[in-house]
Amino acid sequence: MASNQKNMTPQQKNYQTLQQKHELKRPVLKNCVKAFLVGGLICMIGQAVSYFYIYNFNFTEQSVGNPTVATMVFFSMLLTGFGVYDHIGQFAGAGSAVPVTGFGNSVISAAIEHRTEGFVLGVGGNMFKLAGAVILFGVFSAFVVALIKTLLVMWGVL
Amino acid sequence: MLKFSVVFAALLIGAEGVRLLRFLVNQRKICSPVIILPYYEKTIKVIDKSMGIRKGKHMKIIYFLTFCISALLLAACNQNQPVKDSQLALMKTTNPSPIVTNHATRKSDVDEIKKEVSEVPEIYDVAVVKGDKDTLVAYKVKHLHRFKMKKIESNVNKQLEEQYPKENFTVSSDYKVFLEAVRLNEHMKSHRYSHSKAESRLKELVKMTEDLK
Repeated sequence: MASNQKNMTPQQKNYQTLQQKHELKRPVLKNCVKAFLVGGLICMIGQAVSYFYIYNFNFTEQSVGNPTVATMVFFSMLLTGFGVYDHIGQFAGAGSAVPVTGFGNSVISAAIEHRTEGFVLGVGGNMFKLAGAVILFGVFSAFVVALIKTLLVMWGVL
Repeated sequence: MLKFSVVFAALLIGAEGVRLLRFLVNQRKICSPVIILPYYEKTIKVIDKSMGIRKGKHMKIIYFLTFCISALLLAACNQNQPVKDSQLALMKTTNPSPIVTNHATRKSDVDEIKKEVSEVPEIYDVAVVKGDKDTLVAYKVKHLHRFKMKKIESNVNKQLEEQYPKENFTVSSDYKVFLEAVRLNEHMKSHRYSHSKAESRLKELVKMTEDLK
């Protein structure tokens, strides 16, 4: 960027200052508020689902996480299929991508996109195109943390 | 053409649904708020005329009205039932009275245990169930102290075991255990559980708590 600026003609520089003047600023605060509200809403629904499982099934607070996550991913799968999640994503940005529903969305949308290429090489091969990174680094970081904990327990720190 | 037929089909389904609901109301099978449903079709027409809505927008209004009516139905049928403590046990402070499964045991002991645990500053809602062998103590931890849940649990356990060396305590801060303790309390109060049944349920709860560790 710096070297580019050096080689610019005065005309180009003028144009750049003009462009910077007229460029629309990213509404960072507004986006943050939107993401906060929608992300919080999704988490609230997740909390309601987990309370539902605690009340009606034999799940404790610790074990209720698994069925809740599965249900939320299922919801996001349906919403992605019906084309609703795209709108939510456009409105809320990170608010819809960070919770586990965003993970479900990335899996299903990739699957839908590559449906035309066939079930094995299309859907099967491309389903985890985006979510694969999440799984890889999730598993790897879990491995590292478990390793550290094992060592700490062995040395008697914990 | 497609839009037209979709709107028509939706209206038809709506009208058929209204007819069915009307029949059910006449047969006294569902509760009163459904009576407003006959005005369903009329309402749509009135809204259409007053706002000058095109036919394609029917769907949105139908969705909206269906949503409102189903919300009304769900809410209205729930009104006359008494709310049990266990239904709201996870949302608000329940403060259940301590219980003993065996009526031969003195109740003042459990009252004392409950008082003892309630005095811990990080804890706000305590349920105590005393069985023949085990005593279950379930509680809720104040929100900002939930980071130190394990420590609080071991402290409470230690304190209780020092004070009552003869008892066998099971301490838990899990919501599920608390909820089940409140439910057990309710069942005992309504005399739905006999001594042996309550005792076996308590054993299940103790086992559930031990599985968590």
